[in-house]
Amino acid sequence: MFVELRDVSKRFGNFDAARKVSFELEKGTLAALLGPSGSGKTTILRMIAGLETPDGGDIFLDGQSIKNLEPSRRGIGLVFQNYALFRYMTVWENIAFGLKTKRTPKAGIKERVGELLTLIGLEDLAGRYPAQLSGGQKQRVAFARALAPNPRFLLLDEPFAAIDAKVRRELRSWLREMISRLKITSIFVTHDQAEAIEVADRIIVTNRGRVEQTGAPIELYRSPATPFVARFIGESTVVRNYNVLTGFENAPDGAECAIRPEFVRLFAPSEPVQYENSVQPGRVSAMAFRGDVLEVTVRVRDFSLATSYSLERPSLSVGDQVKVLIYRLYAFQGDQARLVGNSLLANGGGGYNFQI
Amino acid sequence: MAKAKRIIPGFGLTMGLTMSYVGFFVLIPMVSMALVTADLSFKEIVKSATDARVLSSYKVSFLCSFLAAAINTVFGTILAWVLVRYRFAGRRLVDGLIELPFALPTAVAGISLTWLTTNKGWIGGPLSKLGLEIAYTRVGIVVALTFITLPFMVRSIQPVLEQLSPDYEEAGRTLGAGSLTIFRKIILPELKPAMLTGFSLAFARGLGEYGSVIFIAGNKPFQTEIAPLMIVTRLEEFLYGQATAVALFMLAASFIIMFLVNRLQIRAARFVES
Amino acid sequence: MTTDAAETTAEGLVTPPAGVPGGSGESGGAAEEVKNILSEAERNFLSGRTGRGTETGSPTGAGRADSEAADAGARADGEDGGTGGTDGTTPRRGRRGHRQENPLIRGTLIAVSLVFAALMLVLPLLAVLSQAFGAGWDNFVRSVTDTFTVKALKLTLLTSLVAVTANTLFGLTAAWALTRYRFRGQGLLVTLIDLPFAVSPIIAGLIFILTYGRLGWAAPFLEAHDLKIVFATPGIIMATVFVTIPFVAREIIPVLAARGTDEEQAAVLMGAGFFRTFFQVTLPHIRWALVYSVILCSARAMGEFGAVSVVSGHLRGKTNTLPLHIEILFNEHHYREAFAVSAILVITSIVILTARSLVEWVSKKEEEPGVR
Repeated sequence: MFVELRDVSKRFGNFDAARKVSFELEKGTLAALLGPSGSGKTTILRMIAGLETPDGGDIFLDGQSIKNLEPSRRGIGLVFQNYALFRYMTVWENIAFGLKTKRTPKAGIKERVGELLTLIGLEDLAGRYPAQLSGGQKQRVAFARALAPNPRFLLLDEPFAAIDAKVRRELRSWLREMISRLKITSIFVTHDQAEAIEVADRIIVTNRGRVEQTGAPIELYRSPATPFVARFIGESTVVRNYNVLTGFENAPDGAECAIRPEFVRLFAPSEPVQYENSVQPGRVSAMAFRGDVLEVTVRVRDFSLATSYSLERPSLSVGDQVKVLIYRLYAFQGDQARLVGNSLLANGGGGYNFQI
Repeated sequence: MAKAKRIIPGFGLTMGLTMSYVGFFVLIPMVSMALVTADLSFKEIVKSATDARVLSSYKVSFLCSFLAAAINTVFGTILAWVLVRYRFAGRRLVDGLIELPFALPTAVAGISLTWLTTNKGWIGGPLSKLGLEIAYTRVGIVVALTFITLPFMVRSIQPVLEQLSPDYEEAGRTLGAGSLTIFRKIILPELKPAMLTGFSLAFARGLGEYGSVIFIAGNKPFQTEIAPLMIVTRLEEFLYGQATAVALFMLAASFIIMFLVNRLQIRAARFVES
Repeated sequence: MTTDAAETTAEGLVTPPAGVPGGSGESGGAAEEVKNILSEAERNFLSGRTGRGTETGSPTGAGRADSEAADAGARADGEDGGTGGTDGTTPRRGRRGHRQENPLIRGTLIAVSLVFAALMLVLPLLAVLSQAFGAGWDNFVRSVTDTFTVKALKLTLLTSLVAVTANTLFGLTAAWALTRYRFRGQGLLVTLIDLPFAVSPIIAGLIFILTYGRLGWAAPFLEAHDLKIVFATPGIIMATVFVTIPFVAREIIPVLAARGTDEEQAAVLMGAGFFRTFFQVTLPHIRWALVYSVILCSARAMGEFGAVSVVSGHLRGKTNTLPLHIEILFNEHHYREAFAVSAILVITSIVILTARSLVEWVSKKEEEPGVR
């Protein structure tokens, strides 16, 4: 493994920013540290960079412990949340800074900075000061500055947080492309699950200082290991006492589960249903047109479940009685989540049967 | 919050230098004062600090500082207002001159104000014909302290006025409020905390001021002798203990004032916020 | 009997201040009156005209945009510094607030301010200059080239140079230590740095006498090593240092605190050491605040009177600084000479004030590179 965190902990006063955090990453991976604010993700990033000292545990880079290494000797590049560009230096000087401290010969600096400026496409702006750049341009400069000393590992703290929504999309794919072109192992911190899913190869989900689950985006989506991940990744409705639902009678009292929209299928009263005994009555309580499908909220007993409904199907309107089939759901047991299928279906609800 | 390792370099160097410097120039001398105090009995301290002549010097100092601060509250506020809100010829000049009392050596201010207000001076001359005297009276002390403490008031109020959005006033105006009402009900409450700060700074500075006052005061015991001068007088008599006792009283007084005003200010600030 | 005397003086004293606020009361009264006299339409007309009149006086739209762009980026920098940060908002002030202001109130207030400023600020300056040069240039030159004056000038320059240099270095290190790290006792340290502002200069002098004076606890040690501090140049320098300690530190701490430590962290991560980080990354942010505070510190160091007076011992030609020399001349009724020497200091302080304004103006223009 190229990067490995082993039981890394950090406390600030009474606040546990990291509790026995462990994860591994292979070389060349672009990983996302995903979690709500205050979940410790930035602290973890700063500990890897060496800006924060862990209270316990160890951090390995390329098989070597870097815990006691000076931040500047770790071979890590860091893109700060607000870029932290040197405001009194030009773009060129900003990028060259890390090379100058390493006593790179002048010609070498010139070449490397020129190379990076070409990479980020800002050759013309080399003489500008950060205050004269747009958010996206600052982001690119910060990226180039972090890359200049040829780090083996790149860290990005909320790289898109300070950029407006329109540019953000563009910048995401730009960054994704850059990193895969450079093949540099990277971690970026984000609180936006959509961003993590779209950009990262692997996602490390953190919550309250702990790593909840590590895996490829699709893995996290398909088999969330904990209730938190089930809730945080993708859309779902959390339901308590779900043993009142048809097909899930075996569940214990008071248990909770998460139901994704695609786990729910609606049938108009006129439609035939293959397993008539596996459905339950529901009532359409809200409908919204989402362009290609209808987003339907259906009331089943005391629960409101969201699902989508094809326009090709018999038409529905608010207040209509429907038959609701719940294929499966994520049952929560303590701090674990488990996929449970509808017991009245022939194949027991099955699992996902797609591959990417 | 002590961290095992500090990321930004230079902690040892800068902390070491800072602590030694403060230790040498501030802590050690202040400790001497405590040492001398410890050598005195409580009775001695009270006796030296409440001697009739000393008591009257406190009275002069407090009274004159208070009046000077009060005068500056009025004129300092007007000056700040005019400088922030109006454009007129000479505005920049006046704005630049506000800091003159900070930049001008107090002794120069002292002799200049004295000369101006004696019965031969530009101001004292005409006034003496009316039977009014400034130099060598408490009025002179007030004049000197007003000069010295003027910048505190103006510079406390100016930033607040600059921050004050004209929207409030315009809102008030559209609701039909007159200028006086607007000032009393809208602007004054916003300025109060800053005025209190300015007042307390001016007052505290006035209590300690020496250079500008001793020339104009005349230094007549029981009449125009200020408390700092009492310390000097005792020192010149080599009565270090007595000098220290008076100094202690002055220090305590100025700390109490600062403390009280701080509390008032916090209250006022809370009121403004709500 | 003594109380009587005090009372009479106090009474005499009540008159001028009471009369002084009376002046403002008058302006208030005038305001009311004007409000009643003028009809609605007249007032609108007048205020409208005032509004336009000042609009031309205020900076152009472009200038405003500039200042706002600068605001967006570097306002938090607080480069304008604490005490004098007034010019930064100059383009903003008076833009709107007085649009509907009553012109009579406006006129009265400006007049009151100008008269007050003229009496309190301009007149003392003119008095010194007129007295100094009143007896002609030759007299002035003779007074200021007197041996004792030259010696006092030299001592003042030496004292100021040492005190300002020391306090500048201290201010920088203290500001760095207080804003770049968190440690126990930070508040206490700030209080100690502020202390000289709160203490009377006389007390500042007293504590050095108590420490290093003939009866001070350090006296045996000093005598054993044949060192003289009190009534000698070192004492004068130390007292001056004490009095001016807060100037630089207090000016720079808020600027650094407001800016955060991101840039320094980035520099460290890229392998920069203390000196490179300080000089290349931090110093550019605080250079104007630094220049500004050094100017103010110099002014105070040159003019310090109370503290120096206590520790000097008034040895003419040996421990007299310019302000002390002025005191002696004045007390010996050599008024002409006293004012001539004062003129040196007056001119110096005018230069200092001009420099201060200039620094403020320049720092506003260059608040952040690239923001034009």
